[in-house]
Amino acid sequence: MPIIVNLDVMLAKRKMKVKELSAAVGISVVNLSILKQSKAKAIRFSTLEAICEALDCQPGDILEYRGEE
Amino acid sequence: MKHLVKISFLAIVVIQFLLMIKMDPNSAPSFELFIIPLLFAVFFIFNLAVRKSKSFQSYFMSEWNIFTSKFKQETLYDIPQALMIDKIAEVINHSKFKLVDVDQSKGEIMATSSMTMKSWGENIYIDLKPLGEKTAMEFCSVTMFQMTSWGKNAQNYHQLLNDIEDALII
Repeated sequence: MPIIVNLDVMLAKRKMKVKELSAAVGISVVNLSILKQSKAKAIRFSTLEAICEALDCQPGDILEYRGEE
Repeated sequence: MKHLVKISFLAIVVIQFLLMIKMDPNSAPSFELFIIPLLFAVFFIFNLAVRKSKSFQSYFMSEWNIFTSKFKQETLYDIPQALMIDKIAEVINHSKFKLVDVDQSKGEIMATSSMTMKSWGENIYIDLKPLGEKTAMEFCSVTMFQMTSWGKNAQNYHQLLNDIEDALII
């Protein structure tokens, strides 16, 4: 999929674990893992907002478009 | 052959019923007339007692078990098995079904629905097999004490697929 989720990169930058983020944003670890692996069908604005707030970042830091080569 | 067994069973029940109707009301009822209803009662109680047991899965899913109606389907998901097990368990917990057993090592999930005015309840058996980064989901819905499910099993399957799709919007 051309949309890449860089959640793992941001988690590493913030030295945060998935479990900690899960507790901070109120989303289950399973859902965050699915999102992290770019396997989610879609992402809600509310989820994006909560993640950006917890990681103190911009949506563009989490989502990236990579055109198929 | 399976249909022959079903027809034979129905024939026995009909004969028993006719015997009961034709019985002289003045005569004392014979023990033979109560054998089939008694067997039915024992069978019914036995099935209710064991339906939530994982060890009776093959009994309920057997094609020779004419008292259950089965529906099997397979779907492929682009999600690793370990995540899929947790996701489906989560989806089932938010549905009308009650999660009975989750076997992480075998990738098996069992859930049941409770008895209602319209149904004796259904058992759901899900087998998740890893195919590299993907997962093959084998779904089986079993309707209790019914030779036909009247579309209920298929409805359960489509409901689960829809619930999984919805749950993948995070």
